[in-house]
Amino acid sequence: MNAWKASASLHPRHCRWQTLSVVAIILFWVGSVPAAGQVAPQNFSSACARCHPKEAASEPTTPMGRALELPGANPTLASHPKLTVRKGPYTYTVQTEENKSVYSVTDGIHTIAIPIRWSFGEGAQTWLLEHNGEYYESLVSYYPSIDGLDITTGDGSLKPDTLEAAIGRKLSNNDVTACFDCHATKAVSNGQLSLATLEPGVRCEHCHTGLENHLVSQIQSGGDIVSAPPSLGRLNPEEISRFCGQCHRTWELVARRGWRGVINARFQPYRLANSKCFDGTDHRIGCLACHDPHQTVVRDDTFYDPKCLACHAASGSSSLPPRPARAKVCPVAKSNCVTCHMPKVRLPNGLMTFYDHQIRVAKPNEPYPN
Amino acid sequence: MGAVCLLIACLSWVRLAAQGPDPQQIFQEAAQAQQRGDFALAASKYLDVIRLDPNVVAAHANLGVVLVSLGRFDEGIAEYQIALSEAPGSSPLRLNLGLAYYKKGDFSGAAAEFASLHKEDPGNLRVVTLLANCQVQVGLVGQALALLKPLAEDNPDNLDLEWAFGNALIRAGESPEGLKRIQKVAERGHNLEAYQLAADLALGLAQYDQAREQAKTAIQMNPDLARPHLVLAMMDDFAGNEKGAEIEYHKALEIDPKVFQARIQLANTSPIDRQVEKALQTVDGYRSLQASSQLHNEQVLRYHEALVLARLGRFQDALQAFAWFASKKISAPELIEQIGRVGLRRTVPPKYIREKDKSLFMAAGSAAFRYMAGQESEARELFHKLFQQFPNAPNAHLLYGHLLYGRESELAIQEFQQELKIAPSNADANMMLAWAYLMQNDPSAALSYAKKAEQEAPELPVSQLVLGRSLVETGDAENGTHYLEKAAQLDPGNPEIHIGLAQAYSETGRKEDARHERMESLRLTTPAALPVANP
Repeated sequence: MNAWKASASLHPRHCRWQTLSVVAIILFWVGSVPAAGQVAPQNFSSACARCHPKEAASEPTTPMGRALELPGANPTLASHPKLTVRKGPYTYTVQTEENKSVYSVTDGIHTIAIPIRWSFGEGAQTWLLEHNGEYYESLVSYYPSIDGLDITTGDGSLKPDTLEAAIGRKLSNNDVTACFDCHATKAVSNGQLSLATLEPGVRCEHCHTGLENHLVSQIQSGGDIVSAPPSLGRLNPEEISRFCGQCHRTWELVARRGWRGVINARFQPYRLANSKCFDGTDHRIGCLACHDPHQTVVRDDTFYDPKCLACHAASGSSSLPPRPARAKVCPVAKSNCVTCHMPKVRLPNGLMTFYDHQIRVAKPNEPYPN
Repeated sequence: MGAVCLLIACLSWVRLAAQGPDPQQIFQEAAQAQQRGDFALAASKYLDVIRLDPNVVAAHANLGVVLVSLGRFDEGIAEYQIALSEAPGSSPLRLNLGLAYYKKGDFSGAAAEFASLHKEDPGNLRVVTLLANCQVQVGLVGQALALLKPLAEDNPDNLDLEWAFGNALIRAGESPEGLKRIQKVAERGHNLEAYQLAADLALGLAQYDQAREQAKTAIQMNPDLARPHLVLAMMDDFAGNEKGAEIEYHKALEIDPKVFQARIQLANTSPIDRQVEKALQTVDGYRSLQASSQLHNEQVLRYHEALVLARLGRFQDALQAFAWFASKKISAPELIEQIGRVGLRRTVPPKYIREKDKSLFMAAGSAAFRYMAGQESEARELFHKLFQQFPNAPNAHLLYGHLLYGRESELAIQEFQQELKIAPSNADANMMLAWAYLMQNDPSAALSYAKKAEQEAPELPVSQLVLGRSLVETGDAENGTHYLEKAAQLDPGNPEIHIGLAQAYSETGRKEDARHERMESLRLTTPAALPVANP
């Protein structure tokens, strides 16, 4: 079994949490007792910080670390006390007072108002709403690009014919589980939603499965490096694409669901695998070759030049050790590679822009390659 | 129509140039050509007149008539509109314009013209009939009925009104009353089209004697029509006269090889061979022709498609075809029984279902129908009753698992496991469990089920697929690739197999092979009609 399999088999829904005594040992080790109501898993991050301070400090501030926000900890809603938009016959309002936000939809006669408990996303934000025992994905979302509300991405085709349907897309159990499984940590246990153990955002143990064994053995061995969780950095690009794709969508999922057209620019593992240069075994191309998930994504295009030049540099011009299979050298430029070869793509709703991870010689006015 | 045009010619004739070719002479030649049916020559002559004097209203009006007769509707409509700009408000011209829209199939455009004429002359029964027909076509059935009902009562001998009223009633779901009207038109007007429709309707309403009688009359009037033969074939089929049914189905197919129902019915009664595949191709062809836009045809199409798919062993696809009925809340005991039979994967043809199996099929069918109709809690209760009443019925838990899988995969897994308790060697349940675990990124859990599935049904490409993927994802890429390649040989059109191969090749450094497989799977998957993907 390789590393991917080890980590996959410890995907949150398969985690086998150990006895309370294990948690107690860890709490003791980090030297703090949680306050009443504080959930134990937070202490894993604290425990990790002892040996991995850099990652533990930066990751919670990244968009992944803040992928789910709770009432009272939502700067977007706090700074926008009243958001409103009219869509067809319905008017939507998100009103925030004293750290409490309410999502409401009205047809001018009747109104449905639902308290917001779960805010998904750190930039653009969508709300998961509970109404009469059902979960809904809010039909409108907040978009920083317009600093306001508009139809939730992907829901443009929904045409609600009742006020209840106008709340948003009704979610199946699989949908709800999938939302929380990606935007939170320990939200799903044995395939079932477990809101009691949920920790908002992506935390260490979301990706680094096997963490509890590692911590326990660390304690028991007095700090020796034993039982390290499988190293995700050692996964080959195909495996890491599938690992990250569990949330960012795998190539196979996008292919299977038939999500074609510009909308799939959001699904980077799919786009990357379609690139001519993608090689499932070459570590110079893959999610981790360019991105450190513990850091906020770098927006400076030149940052990525060395990543491209790892393959596309003229022979002898790279400071990197020689590697096989050097690729063609760009005859146009030697910097800002992504501006031409990973063109920015605006989604059909015009509200979000993504770098197209299908790396290629992009020609002007060419149709979007599926 | 001719009288209308000549009237326009008399009323609207304007001064024509006196020198050079005589436009009046050419106009007369055009009118003569039109009267003897030489529309191409008439059109050319009217155009000559218009070239000499573009303001001749009669030439535009008559050219419009000729062009519509030639099937050149848009050009004809344009000529009527030019004429109307010169003679605004002319009722005959507006009637002609409405008829042009009607013949073109633009029922909204036609309805607008007829509605304005009706407003001016509410007693004109021809206009009312045309307007109502248009309203029926554009879905305003209620308005059509309101318009036609009092007039039909006051004019019981007007067969055009009866025909329009009958059709509106049928579209409103009042088929028995509609049938009466259509029968009246058929008998009093000795109308072939009405006899055919009446036969179809009577068949749909289970008035078999009447259906047979109407179909026979239609065949006497025109023996080269396929549809009445099909009705007779189905009558024989229902009566258990297989030989007679086969003869009539073949007659229908000889007349029109595209009569999909005949092909499907033959497929459903004959052994599985090329006939079945051909039937499915016919269904696809029929659908691509969009002939299924009428609800009645769509129902027949879906129902028989499901039965053919079941005969091919494609039970899941068959259920998908049945799901359409549930989504439309169209239910009937025969349909429910068939859903149950197909859901429980019984291949016995409908007519050979044993009496003792009927209650099982009805129970399974009712539960599945409820689930497919979105009534999940009612479905859950019905499935639990089914499991209590028939605790050892093969494939019952498999059916529920399949239905649950898309929305509640964990519950689906439990049902597949229940199925294996009843029948441990059930290849489908093993395959589904392996697949479900693979989709949960738990290949270790998938592997044992995949091995069992392959052992039980090595001839099935999906069993090779799940074993291949399970092996690749648990680290045995070499063996896994072998099974995946075997799966691709068995079913090269299955995109899932190419997805598996792409992954296997990618992980083993076969970059170009992986790329080829990715492209192949993209080619084989259908782009989603509405690309919805949650944020």
